[in-house]
Amino acid sequence: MNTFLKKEPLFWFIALGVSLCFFCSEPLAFSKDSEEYDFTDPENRWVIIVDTLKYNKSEEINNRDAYGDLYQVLLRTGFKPDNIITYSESAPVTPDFRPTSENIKKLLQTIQSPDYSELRTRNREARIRNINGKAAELHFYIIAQGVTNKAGNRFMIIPSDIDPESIESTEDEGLISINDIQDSLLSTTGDQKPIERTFLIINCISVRSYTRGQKTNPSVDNISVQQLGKHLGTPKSRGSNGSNNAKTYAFWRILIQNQNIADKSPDNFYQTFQNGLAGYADIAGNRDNIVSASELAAYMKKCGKESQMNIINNGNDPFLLGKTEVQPSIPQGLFKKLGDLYTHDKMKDQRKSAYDREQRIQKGKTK
Amino acid sequence: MRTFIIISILGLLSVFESNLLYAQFNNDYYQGTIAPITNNLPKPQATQTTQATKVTQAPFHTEAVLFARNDYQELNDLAGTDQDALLLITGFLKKSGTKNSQISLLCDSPKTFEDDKINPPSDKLRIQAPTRENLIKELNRVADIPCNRLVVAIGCHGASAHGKSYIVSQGGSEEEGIFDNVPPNNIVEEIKKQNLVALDEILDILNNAKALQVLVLLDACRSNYSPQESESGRSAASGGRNSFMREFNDRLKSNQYVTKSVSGSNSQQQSNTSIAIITSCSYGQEAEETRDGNNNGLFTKAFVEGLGGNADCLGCLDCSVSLTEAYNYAASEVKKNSTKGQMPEIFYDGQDDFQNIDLIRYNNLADPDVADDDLTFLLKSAYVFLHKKTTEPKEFEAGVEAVDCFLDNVPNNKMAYTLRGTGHRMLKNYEQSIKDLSTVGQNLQLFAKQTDETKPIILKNGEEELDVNIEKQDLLTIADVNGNWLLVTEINNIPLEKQGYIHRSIVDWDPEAAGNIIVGSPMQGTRTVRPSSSRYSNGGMVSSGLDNPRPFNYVPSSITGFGH
Repeated sequence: MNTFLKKEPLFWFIALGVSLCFFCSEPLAFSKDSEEYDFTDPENRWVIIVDTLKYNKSEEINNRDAYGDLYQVLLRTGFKPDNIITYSESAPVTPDFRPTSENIKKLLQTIQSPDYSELRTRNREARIRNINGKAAELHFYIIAQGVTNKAGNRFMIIPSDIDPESIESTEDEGLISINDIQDSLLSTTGDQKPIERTFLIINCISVRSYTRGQKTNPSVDNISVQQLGKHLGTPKSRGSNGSNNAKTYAFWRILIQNQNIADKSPDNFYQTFQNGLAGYADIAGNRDNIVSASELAAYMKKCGKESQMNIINNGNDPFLLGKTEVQPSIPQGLFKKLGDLYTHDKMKDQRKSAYDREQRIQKGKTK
Repeated sequence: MRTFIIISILGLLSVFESNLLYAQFNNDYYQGTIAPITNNLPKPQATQTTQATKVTQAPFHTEAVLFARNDYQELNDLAGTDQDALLLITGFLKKSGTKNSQISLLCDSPKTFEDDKINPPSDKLRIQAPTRENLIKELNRVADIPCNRLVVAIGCHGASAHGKSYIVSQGGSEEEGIFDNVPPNNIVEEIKKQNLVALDEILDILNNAKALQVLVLLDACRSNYSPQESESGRSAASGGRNSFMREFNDRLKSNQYVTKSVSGSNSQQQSNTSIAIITSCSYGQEAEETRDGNNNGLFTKAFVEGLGGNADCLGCLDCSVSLTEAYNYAASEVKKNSTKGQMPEIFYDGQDDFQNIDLIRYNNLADPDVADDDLTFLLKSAYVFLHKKTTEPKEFEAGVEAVDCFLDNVPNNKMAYTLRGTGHRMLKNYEQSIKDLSTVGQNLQLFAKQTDETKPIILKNGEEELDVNIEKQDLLTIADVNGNWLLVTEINNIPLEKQGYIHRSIVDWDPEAAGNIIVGSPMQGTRTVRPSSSRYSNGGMVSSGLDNPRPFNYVPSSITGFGH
């Protein structure tokens, strides 16, 4: 082999050429079949956060901090800072990144456009680009006040430039349809391919309160995530370019209803979410040191109020959201102690089970 | 790749399987099973022993009338009263063994109940239009049925004026001052004209019910629609004093224990009747709805949630939810979530321990399964060892340790926090208990106990003894711990105007240890509260009735018959 390499300079020339093509020509690299995406590559993974709330009340600061923590967790779980695009009133980079009606509508149009050149990150202009100009994986977070009509067939979020108290109906100009948001992410217009993996999280926060004796605006109501989930439906698995035998695209959607944005209890969305991402979702799941979307969803459901959450996926491969940062820990002796207390004859199975678990813990294994 | 997919699928399956426990939290009390309600009627007083006999053989028979009106022509529509009725049917009535045929549903959204699982063809709900006539007709019908329990739940628009509460059955008017120009002797006619139904009218019917227990749940506003009354600071119900917990006092106090016959499957029994009324808000207040789009009544949702097990978890942890536990939990949740200071009220008559009747009873909590994963096994074990009837201190400790470990691995689990807070309460680690319970928005509540009948239970603030009268079994809300002294902020859920400390030796989590089996409740005494207290500072509606504020104190035993 060595002799062959020494005698064949042409081989080196060709090898060098291929290498140059590989490293210098991105289109060549991204022309791989989509099934070969490396979803652990941070370059392929993007996050868009649209946060329309105005944090001008002291009690809402807690939520703000949790949101900052979420940003940090996203970084730790493998997202590049440049790939996290934030539309927020708290720290807009430029006026273009204020979560106003106009900017959000522009964002949705941009996602549907052939490339994402309009999307700029905090530090630089960057294109969310990948094969065919689309992101391989996009996480889309929406934190907004939401309203629906009485008929329960129009679900809107309220951009930051609209006063929630001034809304007359869901037909008001400026409101953003949640249908449009989902459609944008699932867009397959023209020759484009949809995003390979889409993870949509909508956190609808209600601020309108109603009583049983007070006149209120009868035309708008708070969003129920059950109704919204039903309305949005389950996105069907779609083949690329309409082909029947092509691979399908993964879609996950988690809808959250927070009644109280200042809620500091454990079912606070952000605290729960970041804990799940940090690894607790995997600990409560299959403990393979990888947090998957299904584990995160199950964890959210477990920790939150089930009635306020709607989780849907279209049956495709689970997302691998990131590596587990924390490890499960069950102290030695605990199961033995429990086993010793299962003294009743009816509980002998539990006693034996507890002792078995103790032995397994001592051998360094948990289940 | 295939291996990866297979592993992933297996992983997914295991995830969902292992999370089944958590997904079903609060269903059948954390996977315990529903136990039949026995006829745990109030124990007869000594003089009445010969009159009352427990029904032990016949199945527990409940009748129910649910009134749920959403559609109003002249007022703004409501959206969630049907959801309330649904919650009560699935979370309360069916769990306590009530058949659909025993539920009379007066509702204008029958589509909500079309699901065959809820309303199967073999056992249909009795659905009618929610009109005044139908309500009166149905109440009269069920009042004539001898049964163990009669539940009347009302969700609609409501109002109050001249110290009385009304529901708006249809159309109607909620305009302020509707009664101001009506002469008192014509007010009944005016009420009918406005399609209002006075609560008194409903109670008049229920007063003659043949049921042994009557439970009335009102989730409607009781806003004051008599501006003249507000301006003058007058409240007819209280004769010029604060109207909290007053409206139905006189009526229930004068209610006679009437011997009634109950026909069971095998026998005919004799016993006494009792009535309890729980209103979602106080007189003059508004009843709020949830903001999750279902528009459930804040109270109804919390009440049913409590019946699902949470109320017992924060109460005696004895696998059954009593009337008082359900009220305490609902009151606590409503206070926490209300933006307008909404405070439910409870009124009851009957015999001494009527407040301890089980609304729902569960079999023993689910035992750990050998197939459970480690964390699930830990959590279930914690429930087993923290269970009141089967535990000793070392079991409490093991239970707390187990749930502690569970939380280390699954942080943010609300029920685990509650359980750990309850466990620390049992171990008298009150500081940690307060911390855990406050994490989930709950209060640590303990019962006052009187070791020496001759010595009063006192609250101290430094050297000063506060002018607050505490009786044994009063339910004290503890906000802080300072050595052996515990800071009391509420007595029987009523905020104290001046907070004080109580010694830890004269409180206990277990009402039995605190004296006898009577659980403390606001109805053990009626108190006056200064308008500056937190509850009255919100909205100022109730405080309008106060004309002579004075330090927090009991009204002496002039109001009796409610527990003592």
